[in-house]
Amino acid sequence: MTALPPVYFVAGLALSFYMAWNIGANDLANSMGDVVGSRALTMRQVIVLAAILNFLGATFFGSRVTKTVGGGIVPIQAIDPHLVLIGCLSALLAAALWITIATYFSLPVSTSHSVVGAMLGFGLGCALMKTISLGDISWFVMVKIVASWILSPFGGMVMAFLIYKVMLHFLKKSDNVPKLESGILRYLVILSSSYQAFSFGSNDVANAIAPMATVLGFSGTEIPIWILTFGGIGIVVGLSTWGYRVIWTIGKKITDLTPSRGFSADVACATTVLIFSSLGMPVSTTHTIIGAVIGVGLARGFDAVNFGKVKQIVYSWLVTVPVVIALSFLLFIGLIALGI
Amino acid sequence: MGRRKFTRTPMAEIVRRSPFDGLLSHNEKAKECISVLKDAMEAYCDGKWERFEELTNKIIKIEHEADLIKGNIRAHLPKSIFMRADKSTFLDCLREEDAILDYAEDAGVWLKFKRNVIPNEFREDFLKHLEKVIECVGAYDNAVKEVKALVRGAVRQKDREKAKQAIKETHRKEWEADEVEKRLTKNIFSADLDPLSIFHLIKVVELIGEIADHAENAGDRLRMMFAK
Repeated sequence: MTALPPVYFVAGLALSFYMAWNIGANDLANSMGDVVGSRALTMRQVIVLAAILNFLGATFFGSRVTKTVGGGIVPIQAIDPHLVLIGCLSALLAAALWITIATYFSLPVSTSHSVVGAMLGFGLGCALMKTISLGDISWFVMVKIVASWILSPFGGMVMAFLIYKVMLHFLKKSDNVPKLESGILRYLVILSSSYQAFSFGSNDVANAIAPMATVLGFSGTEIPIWILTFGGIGIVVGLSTWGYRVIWTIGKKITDLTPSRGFSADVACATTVLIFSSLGMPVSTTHTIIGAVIGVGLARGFDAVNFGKVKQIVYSWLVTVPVVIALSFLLFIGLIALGI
Repeated sequence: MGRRKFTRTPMAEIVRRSPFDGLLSHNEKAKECISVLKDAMEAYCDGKWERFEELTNKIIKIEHEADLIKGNIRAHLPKSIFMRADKSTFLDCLREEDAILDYAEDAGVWLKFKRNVIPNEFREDFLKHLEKVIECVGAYDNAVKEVKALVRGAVRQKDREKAKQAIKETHRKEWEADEVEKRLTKNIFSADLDPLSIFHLIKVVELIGEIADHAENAGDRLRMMFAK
C-alpha cells in the first residue's frame, strides 16, 4: 500500500465520522425511545447505556458487515489503488450528501442502503472506465444484500408478533397488568434496549467506516480494531450531541409503547439485526425496528398503525438506491476526469 | 412542522395515538355541556334570566369546541391508518357522541325561546331527569375507557365482561331517565298551564331525553367494536 496523502486521509476520516455521527443521532436514537418513554431510565442513563453497548457491538462485532460493504461488492484487488481511493471517497461523499438531504427533509432513508448504493456506483464507474468489467461486480452479493433489506423488516415483524403473543399469554394470567408493566417489565426493557444498542452497533458501524477501511487497504482482510472503534466513537458522539432530540420526540409521541410492547419489539429487532450482522449483511436497523413495532401492532399491541408512513418508507427505499448510485458514479467519474 | 430539526424519526410517526383518546376528549366536552345545561335549567326554574342567558351561551360555545375536536378526529383517520376497531363503526360512534352535544344545545336553545314560570312541582323532576341523563353519559364515558383497554389488550375474559357491564350500565341509566321523562310528560299534560307553555315544556323534556338516547346508541356502537 502506497502512502496515503494526508488531505485524503483527513477528508475520509471526517466524512466517516460525519456518517457515524448521523447514525448515532438518528438510527440508534430511533431504537431508544421506548426506554425513555416507559420512564425506566433517565435520558442521561439511556445515552450512557446505549453508548457503551453500541460501542461494544461496533468494535467487536462490526467487522463482518464492514467486509461485505467495503470489499464484497466491488472487486477492490483488481482496481488501481488511486482509483480505489477516489472511488471510496466519492461513495462516502455521495452517501453523506444523500443522508444530509434526507435528514433535512425528515425522510425515512436508510444509511445502509445509501452506502451500499454508493459503493455500487463506484463499481459501475470503474466498469465504465473499463478498469473492470460489469461482470466483475459481485452481483450475487448485491442480490443477497437486497434480499436482506426485504427480509429484515419482515423478520422483525414476525418475531415481534410471536414474542408479544407469548407475552400476552403470560399477562393474561396476571391480575395486575399495570403493576407488572411498571415493575419487572420496565427492567426487562432496559435489558432489551441494551441488547438492541449492541446489535445496532454491530451492523451500522460499517455504514460509516467501510469505505475508509477499504481506502486504507483493509478489504477482504481483518478490519483493525481502531477503525471500528473510531466508528463506534462517532456513533456515540452523534447520540449524545443530537440523538437525544429524537429520543425525546419518540418517547413523547409513542406513549402507547408500554414496557411489554417495547420489550417485544426490541428483542425481535435486535435478534433479527444480529443474525444479519453475523451473515455480514448491511440491513437497515430503522426499518427492522419499524417492522417489529408493526408486528406488535398486529398482535393487538396498538389501536392504530400509520401505514401511510410505511408507504413513505418504501418509497424512500426505492428512491435512495438509484439516487445514491448515480451520485457516487457521477462524483467518481467527475473527480477522475478532473485529473484528481 | 415549522422549523426543521435535522432529524429522521420514522419511529415517532408509525404508531398513532389511540383513536379512543379522541373519543374520550370529545365526550369530555359532552359531559361539560350537559352539566352546564343542568345549571341553566336551574337558573330557568328560578327565573334568574341573566344567569340563564350566560349559561346557554356557554353551552353553544362548548358545542362548537366539540365540533372542532370531532373534525380533528375525522381528519386524522385517513385510509392509510390501520385501526384495531372497525373504522366505520368508530365513526358512527363518534357521530352518536356528537348527537349528545347537539341535543344538549338544542334543549338549551329551545328553553331560550320562551320564558315560562315553572311550577315548583316540575322543578324537581326536571333536575332529576337531567341528573339521570348526566349519569347515563357518565356511564357511556366509562364504557369507552373499558372498550379502549379491551380493544388494545384483549387480555382476559374478565376485561370483556367489564366492558359489557359498562355498556349495560349505559342502558340502565337511559331507562331510568326514560322513567322520569314519562312521569314528567304526563304531569305536564295534566297541569293547569296554557297550551303554549305545555308545548314548550314537553319539547324541552323530549330534547333532554334524546341526549340519553344517543349516549345509549353510542354505547351500542362500542359493543359492536368487540363483538365476536
